[in-house]
Amino acid sequence: MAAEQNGKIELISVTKQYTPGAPPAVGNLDLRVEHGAYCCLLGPSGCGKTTILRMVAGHEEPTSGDVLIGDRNVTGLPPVERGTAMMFQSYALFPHRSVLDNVAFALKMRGLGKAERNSTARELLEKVRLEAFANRMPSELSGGQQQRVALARALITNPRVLLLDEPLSALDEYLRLRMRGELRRIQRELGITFIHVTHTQLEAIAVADVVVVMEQGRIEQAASPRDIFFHPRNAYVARFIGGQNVMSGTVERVADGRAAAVTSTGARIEVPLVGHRVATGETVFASLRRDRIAVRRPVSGEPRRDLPNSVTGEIHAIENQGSYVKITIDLGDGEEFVANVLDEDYFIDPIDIGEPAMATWSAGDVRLLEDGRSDRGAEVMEPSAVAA
Amino acid sequence: MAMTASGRRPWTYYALTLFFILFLTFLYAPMLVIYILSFQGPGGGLTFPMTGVSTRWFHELVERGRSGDIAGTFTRSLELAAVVAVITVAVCVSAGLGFRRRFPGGGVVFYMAIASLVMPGLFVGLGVSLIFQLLGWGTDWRISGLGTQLTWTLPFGLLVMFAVIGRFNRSYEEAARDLGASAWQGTREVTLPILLPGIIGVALFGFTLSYDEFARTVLTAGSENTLPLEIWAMTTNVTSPALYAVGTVTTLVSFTVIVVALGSIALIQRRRSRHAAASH
Repeated sequence: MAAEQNGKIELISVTKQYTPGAPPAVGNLDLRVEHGAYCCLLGPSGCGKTTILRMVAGHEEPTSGDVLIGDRNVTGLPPVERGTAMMFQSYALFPHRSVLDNVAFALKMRGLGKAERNSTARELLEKVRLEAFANRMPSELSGGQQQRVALARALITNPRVLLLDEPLSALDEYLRLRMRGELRRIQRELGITFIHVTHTQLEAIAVADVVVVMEQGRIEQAASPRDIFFHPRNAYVARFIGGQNVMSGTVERVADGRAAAVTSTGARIEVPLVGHRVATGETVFASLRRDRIAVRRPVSGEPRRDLPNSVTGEIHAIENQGSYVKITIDLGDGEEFVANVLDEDYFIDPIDIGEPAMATWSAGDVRLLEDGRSDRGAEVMEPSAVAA
Repeated sequence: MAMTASGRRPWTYYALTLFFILFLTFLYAPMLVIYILSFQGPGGGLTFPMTGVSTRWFHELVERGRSGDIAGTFTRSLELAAVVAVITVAVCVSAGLGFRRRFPGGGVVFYMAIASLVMPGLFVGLGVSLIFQLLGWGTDWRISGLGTQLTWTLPFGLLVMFAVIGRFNRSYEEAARDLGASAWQGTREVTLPILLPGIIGVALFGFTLSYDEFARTVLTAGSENTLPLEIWAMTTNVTSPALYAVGTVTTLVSFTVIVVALGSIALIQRRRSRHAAASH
C-alpha cells in the first residue's frame, strides 16, 4: 500500500494546553488507530475528544508531542497536506453556494475546471443519493440531507482519514440510527480510517471497530466495542458505558483464582482474578453485567449472609424497555444496582416498587476492575484471555 | 395571539396599539410637516395654511442661484458619502476580521475605538480645524471634512461589524481550509460572501451618517458647503418653501439608499434559499 494511502494514525505523547497553568485539554496521550479502522472517541463534553480530532485534522496544533498519519509526522502541516477531511458538527455547508458547488469546492481550490469538478461532484452526490438536489441551496435541505452533502464534500478529495465531529448529534432519533448504519457502510466501502467523536455510548458501540473512552484529557480504555462493553477496565468506563454494576468490597480471602470480598452492606461477592494478585484486606472494585442477574422475591430466612453472589434490597424503580425490564434495587449503600431482566422472566411474577427483592448472579460474570489496585497498569490485560 | 379564551382581545391590546400609533406620529410628524409644506402653492409662505398645491419650489431648486447652489452641494455630499462608505467598509471589515481571534490588548483597542463615539462632534471638528490652521493647511471637505467624518463612521462601522462577526460561525472558515483553500481563497470564496449582508449594512451606515453629518463638518468643510451645511445656511437667508423642497428631496435620496441596501440584502438571502425555483 502506498504511503500516501495509509490512514494509520498515531499520537505520540500529545499534550494540548489552551491556557497556561490550567489543566491540559489533552495530557501526554498516546493513541494508535490502524489503517481502515472505524474509531470512536467517546467521552463527556470537555474530555478532550474533539481536541484530538482537531489536532489530527490540523485545525489545532499540539502544545507538545507528535501526530503521525501513515507513518509521516504531520505535526505543523496545514489540513490540506495531511490527506484528512473533516465533517463538522454543524456541517458548515457554505450557505451561499449550491449543493453541487459545496461538494465541488475542494476541486475548485485545486484549480480544476468547472466541467471536470462538477462531474466528479455529481458522482459523489450519486453515492449519497442526492443527485436530484445538486442545484438546491443547503438551507433547502433537511438535516439528514445536509449531512450527506457534508459527507460528499469531505470525501471528494479522496482522503485517507475522515474525521467526524459529532456527526449525528443534529439529527432526530430515527435518522440518527439510519445514518450511523450508513456511515459504517460507507467506511467499509471506502476502506479508509474514520475517527468519529461522540458522547453517546450506544452510537460508539454500534459503529466502531475501536472505542476510545476518554475522561479529562486521558484515555481510560481503548478496545473493541465488545471488550469495552463487557470488560471495562475501571469503574469510570463501566459506569460511563452502562450495562454494568460497579461493586466494591474488602478481600477476606483468596482461593482458587478468586477473591472473596465483603461489600459495605455485608454482601459477599466472588471476583475472578485472572492472573492478578490481590491481598487480604485490600479493597477491590468489580463490575457485573446487568443482563446476567436474576431477580426474585426473597424466601423466608433470606437474606442469608453465607450465600455469595447475591444482594438483597428494596425495588426502587421498574422500567419496561420492551424486550427487557430494567429493575433498580436500593441496597442502601448509595450505589445504584440495576438488573436487566428478560421481559418473559419478569412478568411471570412481577415484583413491584417498594417490595423486597433478591438479586443473584454467577461469579463468572464478575470482572475485576483496576481501581484501587496496587498492581494497576503493571500488566496489559488481555481481554480475550479474560473472555476465555 | 393575544386573545383571551373567549376570542376577544384584552383592552391592553387596544391601549398598546394606540400607544404605538402615538410613537410613530412622534417619529414622523415633524418630517411630515416639511413634506406637506414643500408642495405649498406658488404664492404661499413658510408656514401653514397652504395656499394651494404646486411643485414650483422643486423647480426653483434646480435653477442655480435663486436659493443657493443646491445642485452643487448635493453632488458634493453624494461624492463625500460614497467615499466615506467605501473607506468605512474597507477599514471596518478588515478590523472586524482581525478581531475574530482574541489577541493581547484587543479589548483596549476595541474600547478605545468605540469610546470615540461619545466625543462631542462639534469639538472634534474644531480640533481638526485648529490642527489644520496650526500646520498652515486650508480646510477642505475632501480632506479635513472627509477625515473628520471618518472619526464618526469608523467606530460606528466597527461596532456594526462586531455584531456581524459575532454571529459568524468560524467552522465555515475551517471547512474552507480543510478543503484546501488558502487564507485568501477562504476569505474571498467563503468568509466575505457569508458576511456580505452585514458588509452592506456597514456601507449603508457609512453613507447615511456622512450624508447627514453636520456637527463635525461645519468647521472642517472649508469654503464649499456640503448639503446639510447649505440647508443650515438656507434656514437663515431663504424665506421660501424651497427650503422644504430640499428636505423632501434629501429624504427621498436617503430612502432610496436604504431601499437599495436592504433590497440587496433581501435578494442575497432569497438567493440562498430560493435558488432552486429558478434552476428547475
